[in-house]
Amino acid sequence: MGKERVAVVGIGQTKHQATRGDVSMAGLVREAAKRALDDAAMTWADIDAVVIGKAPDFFEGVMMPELFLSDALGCTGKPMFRVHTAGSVGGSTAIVAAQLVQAGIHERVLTVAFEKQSESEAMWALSLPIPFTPPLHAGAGGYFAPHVRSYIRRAKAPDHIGMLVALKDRQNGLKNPYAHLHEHDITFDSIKDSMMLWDPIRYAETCPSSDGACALVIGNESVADAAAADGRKPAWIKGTAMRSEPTLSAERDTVIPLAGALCAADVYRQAGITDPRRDVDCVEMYVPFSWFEPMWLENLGFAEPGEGWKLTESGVTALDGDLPVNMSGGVLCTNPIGASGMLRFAEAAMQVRGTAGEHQVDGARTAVGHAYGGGSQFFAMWVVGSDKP
Amino acid sequence: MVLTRQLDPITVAPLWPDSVSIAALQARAMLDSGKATEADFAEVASRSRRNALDNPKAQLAWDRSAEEVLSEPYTVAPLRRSDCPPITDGAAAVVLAAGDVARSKVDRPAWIRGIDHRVEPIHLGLRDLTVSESTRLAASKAGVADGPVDVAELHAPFSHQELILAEALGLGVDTRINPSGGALAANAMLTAGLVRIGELADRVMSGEARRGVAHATSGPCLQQNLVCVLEGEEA
Repeated sequence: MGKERVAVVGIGQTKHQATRGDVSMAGLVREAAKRALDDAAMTWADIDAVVIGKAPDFFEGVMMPELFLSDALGCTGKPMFRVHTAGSVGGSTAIVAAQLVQAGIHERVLTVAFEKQSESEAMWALSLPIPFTPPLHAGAGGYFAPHVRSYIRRAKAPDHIGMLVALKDRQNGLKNPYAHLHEHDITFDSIKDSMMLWDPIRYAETCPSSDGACALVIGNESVADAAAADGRKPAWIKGTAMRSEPTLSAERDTVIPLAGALCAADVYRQAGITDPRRDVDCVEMYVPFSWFEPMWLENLGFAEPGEGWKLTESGVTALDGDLPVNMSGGVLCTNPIGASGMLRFAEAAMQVRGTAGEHQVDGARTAVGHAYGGGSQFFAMWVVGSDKP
Repeated sequence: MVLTRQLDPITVAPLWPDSVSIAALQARAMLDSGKATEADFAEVASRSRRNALDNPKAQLAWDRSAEEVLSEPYTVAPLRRSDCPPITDGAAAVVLAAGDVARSKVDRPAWIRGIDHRVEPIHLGLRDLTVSESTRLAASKAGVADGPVDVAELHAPFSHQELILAEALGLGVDTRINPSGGALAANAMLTAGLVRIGELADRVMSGEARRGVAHATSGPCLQQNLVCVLEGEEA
């Protein structure tokens, strides 16, 4: 393919919380970007181009906010791109940045994704008004709950699986200092007793609304080699893929979306992964509602259809399991929507760099980052590894 | 008014300036610097709409002199209605192909010899509005000066912006600017830049132009600019 080898050489994220009232949008993205630059031992001047991602502009009420953020992100005199693919945008943005380096156009690209949900009300921004659609649902949970019910019926999954996912992810989040939710007192019973919001999804099985940003510095082979020689381990990007499908297509399968399966197959092929269950050490996937863990385990080829919930139930996906999933606590602990996909990609990179702290998986060498967005419409994935491809 | 929501949400948007008023500040800076006169703006407006008479896809086309334009009242001083773009519905699509695929599809492909884009801070107070530093930089990276420029299709929604862009691109009297009529003849905002590339490509593919420059802009007062150099092959 003639692609340049590329790697993540810097990672930064903000402390995520419901309201980051101490910073503006510009301050929020700059906080993450500065940490990524520091991690990469670079300054603003070292960066060739900047790629910015976020979910709909409607969420903060600023149209094309990349224009006003370009100054805070050191873009002056540089190429600056904006990417938008709904909830998967953080992943798509990282992929666009990686491709600019793979194509040999730039050597060092800074990529930043963010959302400041406290500036508005994303749940109602996502509830389409009549007359365009009937008023059938409120927020993303209302849209996805029927998909979850369909999964439970088809997979004959027992009721408690979703609650097990929520408990695991919230407990993993306790080990992540940047996570929004730190629920020290959470138990299986407290989840079970929480309010049913969108049957079968309980309140404690849903993602929070967060302010937050994530940033990565992506470099070419010589940049990554120099980082490695300096004792800063790069996360080599072994494959990237994006796929989409039409949200309202009547014949599509929302439980196992074709676009998600094709995205996974493409990224595994690039990375030389033939048996994902065996070849991948850990996975950080986009699980905004608990039941999407078993659903995506199947969609991404880690389990046969109808078998994903068994991996969750038997503890395979726990932090100390055979295939840890959402080591950071995932979207269930932290959901600055535009940044959520990049946080997944960043966590995968942190794992193979060995910098994930208390949520580090011992000996992780190959990790998958995954994001989805829209009505299970957009998919973005990457595979990162500790070894140079 | 929706363009107001594109400005800094803390320091500028609450003042609720509309997009014509923002452009008028730039036009005023041009006059104050002595780089142009209102008659220069009117010449651009007159020529653009006259060129559009030959463009069946244009929204606004007429034959009026610069003197007639100057007799219009101000919309937002120093801009007159003819200095401003129409409000347009429109879409554009361009098909890209590499190497032999391109050669197999058209007799004379419009090769992309250079393409680059650069951005500046959004804050008007941080920029000299009478120049476009990001256009100059993108032009340099794209290699505009590496050969003669027969045609330039510039995304200049307001008449004075064509003058700023022509200077930043280093265009001389031999370059024909906006034979399509440009954004003053049709300005479906977020596709108007792609229309410029398509218009130029048509002229290169037909052999009317050998080499040319297309330009696209975004943000208030030419904040972000893309420059694309297209060239045909000699038969």
